[in-house]
Amino acid sequence: MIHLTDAPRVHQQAARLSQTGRQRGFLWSLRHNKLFLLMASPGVLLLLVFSYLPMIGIIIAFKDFRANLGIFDSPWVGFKNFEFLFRSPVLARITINTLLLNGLFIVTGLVASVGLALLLNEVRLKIAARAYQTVVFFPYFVSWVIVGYFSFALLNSDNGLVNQVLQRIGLSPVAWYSSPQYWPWILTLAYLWKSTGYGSVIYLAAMLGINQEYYEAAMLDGANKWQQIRYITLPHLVPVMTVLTLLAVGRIFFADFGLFYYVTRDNSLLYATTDVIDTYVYRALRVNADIGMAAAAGLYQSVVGFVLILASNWMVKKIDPDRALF
Amino acid sequence: MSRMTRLIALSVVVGLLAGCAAPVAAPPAAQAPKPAEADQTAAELPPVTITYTYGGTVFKDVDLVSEALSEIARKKINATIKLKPIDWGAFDEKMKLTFAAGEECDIVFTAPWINNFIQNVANGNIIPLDDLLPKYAPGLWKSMPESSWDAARVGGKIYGVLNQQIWVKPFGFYVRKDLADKYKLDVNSINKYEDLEPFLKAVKEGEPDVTPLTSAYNWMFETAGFDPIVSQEVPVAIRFDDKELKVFNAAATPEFKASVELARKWYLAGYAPKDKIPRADADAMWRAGKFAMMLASVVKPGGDIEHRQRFGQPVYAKSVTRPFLTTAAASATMNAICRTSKNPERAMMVLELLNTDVEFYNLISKGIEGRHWEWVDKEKKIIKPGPNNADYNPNTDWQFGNQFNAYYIDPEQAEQNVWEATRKLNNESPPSAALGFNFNPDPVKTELANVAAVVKELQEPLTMGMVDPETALPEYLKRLDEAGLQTIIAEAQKQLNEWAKTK
Repeated sequence: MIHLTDAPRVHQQAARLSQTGRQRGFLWSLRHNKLFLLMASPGVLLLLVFSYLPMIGIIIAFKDFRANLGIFDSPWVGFKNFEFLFRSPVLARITINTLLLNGLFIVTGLVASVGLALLLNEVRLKIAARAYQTVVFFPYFVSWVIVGYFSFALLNSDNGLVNQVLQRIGLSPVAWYSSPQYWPWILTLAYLWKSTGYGSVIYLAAMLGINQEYYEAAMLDGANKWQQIRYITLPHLVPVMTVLTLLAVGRIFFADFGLFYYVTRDNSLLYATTDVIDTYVYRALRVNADIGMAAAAGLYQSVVGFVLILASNWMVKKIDPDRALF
Repeated sequence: MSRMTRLIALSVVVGLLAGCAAPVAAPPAAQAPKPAEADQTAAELPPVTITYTYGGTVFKDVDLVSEALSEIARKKINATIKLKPIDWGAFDEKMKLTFAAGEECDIVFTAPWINNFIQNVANGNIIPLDDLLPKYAPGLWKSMPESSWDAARVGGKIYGVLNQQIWVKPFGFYVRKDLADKYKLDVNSINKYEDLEPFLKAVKEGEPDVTPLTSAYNWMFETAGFDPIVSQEVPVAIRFDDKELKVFNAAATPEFKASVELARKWYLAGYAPKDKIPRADADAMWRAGKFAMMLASVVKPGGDIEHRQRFGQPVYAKSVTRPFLTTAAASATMNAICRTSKNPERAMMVLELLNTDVEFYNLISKGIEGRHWEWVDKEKKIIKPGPNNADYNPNTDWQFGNQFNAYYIDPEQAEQNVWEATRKLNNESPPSAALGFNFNPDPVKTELANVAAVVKELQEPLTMGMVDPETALPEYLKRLDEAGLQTIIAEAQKQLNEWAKTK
């Protein structure tokens, strides 16, 4: 991480560089920076090969793809592939579900991850800290298919654990798998259970980078634990939080298919609150798998994600230019 | 095996073997015919090599089998056989490239689900067989009713050789033998699902640990006598015996209404689990004896044996459907001759061998005797795996030809003479009025996608009895129309009328 006080200097340097670059020409700057360029080249190459080259495939979204003709010779069809999505009678439902649920995940995920990281950071006993970290990290490696079985064991109507407990304490059982109103929260819980540990590790790493002298100085001034967190730890975490949140916003239109498909057990009675763009596209294209239409849906999600990321970056920039991604 | 199980087995095989197939060893060059051994016809024919391209694992011994096949084929038709298996995962793509490049091939496997048959006809990749069939493969031509060949007709011409296997879908139920005996259920007296009610009631009351049904779902197009001409997933159908070919919304019929009302009744009576149970879990629970009965399953000859072997529960089975022949089922697996073949006549003769010569057919589908399999009972045609079974074991009888010529691996199936019973069922089932019609989904792709989504969302709870049909059925019909079902019906009717003209 670049230390905050370094920022103006870096800016000046960059300004100087671009100035001289302009004066002495492209070739000069190429030669001048050849070592840096060399160092960057493997990364840039990977980016080109795996992220930019496949983008040519975007044109499939505008084509009536025929495998025997290939990508380039398949006939153009304009926006026809997008029709099924935009003419879908449930477009509003799947869009709102995708945005709301992912929004919920981003917000609760941020709070839970940072909170957990703060707690873990205060555990002083090394071995205990490691143990906790491993325990909370583990769910990240459990497949959604398995999580689906866990939740079914808990929630099913015939002999689910939750309903048994509800009955034991004198409440009436709930038909979870036909009550869509509970599912945004059930899904959020499942999401947090699985991803909080992973998220907290990133924040923990960021915390390790905070200079201990700040805390020593604060303690000398009589700051309590809460004040230390409030005035030292959290401000230092803001850059990481911003970056991770911005990245998450960029993916807000992509739902985690495994979560929405397996944890709900693809139960159609729950679609009212759990049907998202990805599950809808899967369901709609199962009968007549069409590469063009699937590509169109993917492109639509990417474009909206791109717009959202630009917008949120713009907002961050307005509030605090130093925190913006670009 | 039902088509579904076969597909599952297939995907497992594909999954296991994708990417690790060994290259096919070069087959021995065509040898000069040996007049002393060859019969007269073979001697008159010039020697040729016929290739057979199909999907499957590339087994180590495939060239040995090619050679063994060639030995028979050289004697009979002076042809050398070269097997060209292509891994299932790559088969579709490879065939497209082969055809696009105009590469030479003779016999190819083609189906509606892989190496697409209709597309191959449309692109001129495979040739019409009407003239070749009776002339060069008379045994094959006569091995099934002439009306069955309609399933392979496009624009009035036959383009594929249908592999005979179970072609019809006699949907019915499987019931646990112990419970059926205990509660005195005579399965032969059951002709519709409604008749099962007293038994279900008795099980519900008498067996606290057993749920009577795996699901109240009992809807099947075929049980109602409907031919789903577009797809099993879309409620667009004709009545199988309707010569007028009137296309209608199957969800708006009294038959569908009766089916969902029955499901609702049984669901409310507690005859089925409250939540939807995925297929794999239901299977495991069936194995553990948690259920008494399974509805809406294909009840084919030998089905009860297969069922018992799979789940370890002895069962009775009974169909409640009057089966009929549909295009999708009858044309599920075919072999065709390439446009680029230099010897279509000889290729047809090889197809004749594949479909009528028991030894030849079992050689390609089971391997070499003593090496890949051994006799258990030669008279009853029962075999067991041989010492080198792993080196050639395609396990795709249905791909190579007439499955009714296959040796039995299972003594019980042989005991019941399952192949003969299946052949009889196929031949006795009337053809659908739309046999041979293939729907082209391209003009209504958008509507199909949205209708399929609505079907999955609303039809499933309805047919499982989880929602009240009183309100949910009208809602379902409304949503179907919103998603464009009428457009699909109109398009299907148009295509069907055009097809009827060329028939």
